[in-house]
Amino acid sequence: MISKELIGASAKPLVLSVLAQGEDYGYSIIQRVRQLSEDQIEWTEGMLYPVLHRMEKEGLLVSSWQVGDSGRKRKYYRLSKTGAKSIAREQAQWIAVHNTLAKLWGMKPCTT
Amino acid sequence: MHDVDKLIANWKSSIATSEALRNDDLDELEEHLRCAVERYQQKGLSLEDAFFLAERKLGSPGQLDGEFSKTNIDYIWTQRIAWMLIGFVLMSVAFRMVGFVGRIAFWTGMSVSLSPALTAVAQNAAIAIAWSGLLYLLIRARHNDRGLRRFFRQGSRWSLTTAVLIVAAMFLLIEATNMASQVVMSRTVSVSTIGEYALANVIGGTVLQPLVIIASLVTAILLRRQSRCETST
Repeated sequence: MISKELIGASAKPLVLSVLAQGEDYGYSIIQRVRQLSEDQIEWTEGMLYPVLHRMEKEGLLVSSWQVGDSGRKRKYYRLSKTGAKSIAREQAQWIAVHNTLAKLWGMKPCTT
Repeated sequence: MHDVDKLIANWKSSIATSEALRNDDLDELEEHLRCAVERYQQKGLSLEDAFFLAERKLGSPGQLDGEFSKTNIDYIWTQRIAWMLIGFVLMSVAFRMVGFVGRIAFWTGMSVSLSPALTAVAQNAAIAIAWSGLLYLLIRARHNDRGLRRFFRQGSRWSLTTAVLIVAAMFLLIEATNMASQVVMSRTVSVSTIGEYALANVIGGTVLQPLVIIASLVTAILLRRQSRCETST
């Protein structure tokens, strides 16, 4: 299991990257991250929403209420232009951390 | 009502004490719960188990409140200021009303030529009855009115603090104006009449106003506790 601190720190890049693939709503974002991480990243689910709202306030996301496939109202999030641009910056930071650790542990660094 | 709606309604009332959750946030969390319940039911869980799991994974009301408070701090303070203004307005109105009742009692006492001391007693009695009546109406209305219930869950701390501060300030102010008016009156009315009236009035007022403060505080605390019990059951 990944520590609480790391889960908190990785929430923003994860949300940005999930939404880079298209708009989505809270529950579905959580499920996709859980599946991709093979159950390693397990959020306290309600905590994602304040993160989404903060990112919206920062201008990284745009939200809108739509009627989902369930027939109920759902709040969908998508990337704003600023949000899309910020992914590259996040990527560079995470790769830098990853590469540093990889070198220290004698693993092959990530090239992209 | 559908079973899941009942469970959702219970959950909503358990979280209704939070000042940090806007209606929009509640709707979003509700939709999340419904999605999670559906998914767990598809996996073969009973409705109750599915809901229990979904609710636990969503986070406790305390956790949600703490986390949303960080994001919605401006919303929380807008609400608190609104509650304080409501407390101020309500208390001002209450003061005017009670003052009016007191003045009626005073003029009635004077016109039926009650002794000055009895007039003061009647005036203070009328004021005491008026305050009790207002408190009683507030308590009665609370059970029927959704807005008032919300007020007692979220706003009472802020509006009643403001109200109590106003009462305390008025207490000091009224004492000062009382004294000033008695000085003015002493030029037209015989001093013994004023003295008798003033003594009874000052004693009445001095006893009554701290009592109003204490009664408001006790009522507020009792009602808050009661509304907490209602939410937790």
